[in-house]
Amino acid sequence: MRNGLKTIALGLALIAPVSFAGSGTTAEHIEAATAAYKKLAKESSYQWTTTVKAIKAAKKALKAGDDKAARKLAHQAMDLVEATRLQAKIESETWQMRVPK
Amino acid sequence: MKKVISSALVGTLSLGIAFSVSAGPVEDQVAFKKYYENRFPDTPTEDFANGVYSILPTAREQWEAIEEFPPYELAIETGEEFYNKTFANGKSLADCFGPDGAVRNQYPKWDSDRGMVVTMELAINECMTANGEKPLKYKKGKITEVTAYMSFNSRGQEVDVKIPSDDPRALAAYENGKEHFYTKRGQLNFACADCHMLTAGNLYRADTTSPGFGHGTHWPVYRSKWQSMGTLHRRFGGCHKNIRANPYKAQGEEYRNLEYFVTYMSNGLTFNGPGARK
Amino acid sequence: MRKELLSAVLISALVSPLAIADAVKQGKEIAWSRKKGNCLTCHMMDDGQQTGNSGPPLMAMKARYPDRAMLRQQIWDPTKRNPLTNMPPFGRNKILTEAEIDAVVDYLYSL
Repeated sequence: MRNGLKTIALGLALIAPVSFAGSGTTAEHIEAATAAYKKLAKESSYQWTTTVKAIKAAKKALKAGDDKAARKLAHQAMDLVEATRLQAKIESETWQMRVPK
Repeated sequence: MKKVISSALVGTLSLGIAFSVSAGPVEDQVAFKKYYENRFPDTPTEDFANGVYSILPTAREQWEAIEEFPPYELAIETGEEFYNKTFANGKSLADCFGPDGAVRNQYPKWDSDRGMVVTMELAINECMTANGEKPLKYKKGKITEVTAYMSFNSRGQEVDVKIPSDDPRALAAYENGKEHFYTKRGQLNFACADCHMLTAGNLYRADTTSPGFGHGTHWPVYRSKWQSMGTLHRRFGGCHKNIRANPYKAQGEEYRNLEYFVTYMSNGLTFNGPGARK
Repeated sequence: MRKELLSAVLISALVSPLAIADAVKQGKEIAWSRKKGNCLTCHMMDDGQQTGNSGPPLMAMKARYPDRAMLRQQIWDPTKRNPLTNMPPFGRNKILTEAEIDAVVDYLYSL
């Protein structure tokens, strides 16, 4: 069992980034993160400055020819969008608790 | 039978809970005000219009000294000039807002025709564009001078924001602003309520957070940190940046609705703008 | 224990191996940095000056959190334990990396 868990953990650590990084150009990854950010902001009004910063930095790195760094930043931006989405979900369930009665 | 009774009881109880959850703006405001009155028993209710200085005696003295030679005085003067300046078509802002512009207590207001909250800044720009003039920028500059003049002439008016009961969209705009106030946003995960309610009066580094009750009364503000005047929506944007939330557009729907809620919560207090803040 | 070993292995794969003293030093830098942990904004801790008081003072952390995982979780997402807390979820919102959080825990354990 323990070995099984370890294998899963290692598998996730190794396979997930590889498969994610495997398809599409870096420009497409940046585009995908940008689209995801905008869509969530429009739907929920939740929007983080750090996501915008990561997208900008990714574009800059790509322009400078550093594909590896650009790709990493694009994925970082996508991770931040997902964290924002989770925040919006949690808040929609808990905000009423803060209202004084 | 017993079962029937107990389920009836449960029904009543859950109804009671449902009822208190869906309390309307009037109940919201009473509870909001009471929260701050209980939290800061030494502060007379009307004094909450003075923001953080209503709860911070150590900083109050310095603030009162500043108010003797207020840094917004020049803005009131230039604002008056601009207010009375004739547009190319021969009219002026006075044709929209009367001879002295003392209309602060009419805003923010619900516009049923367009189904939106109209703030004083928005109304000023609509007056400008209706008369063929270019609109002013919303965060700083000329707009703060005009509103400084108009707010100064409105000092002493009671905050009395209305949510017309015959238009459900007005309540929806209020609810939207309310949800914004209480939801954590930005990467740093702060709600307006976290700093200005839950921990109001506490220190964040060397800064004391102001109580949310009174937030809508004193705009525009000369802020020492800015070294200039700014509107409420400029301040909203600054707060959002601090918590790493991308600021919303000044005078966009998000901030107009937030202003609607925040100012409604200050109902009963007195408009005392323009103000001076750290 | 095994979990800790595993995460230690994973971490050491990402960053160069650290002696505990180095981790404490690094953790302090992260905790104190305004762009990273910025803990002093709310917490009185260590020899920090001009600290805030919106959170409790951070001291005797090992006694208060004998279970290291609990302390880590409290930094990673304190809203899990208390949805009303104003403390940022440093892990959930990716304010700090997993390795940075581990270093901060090392530092807090030294207080």
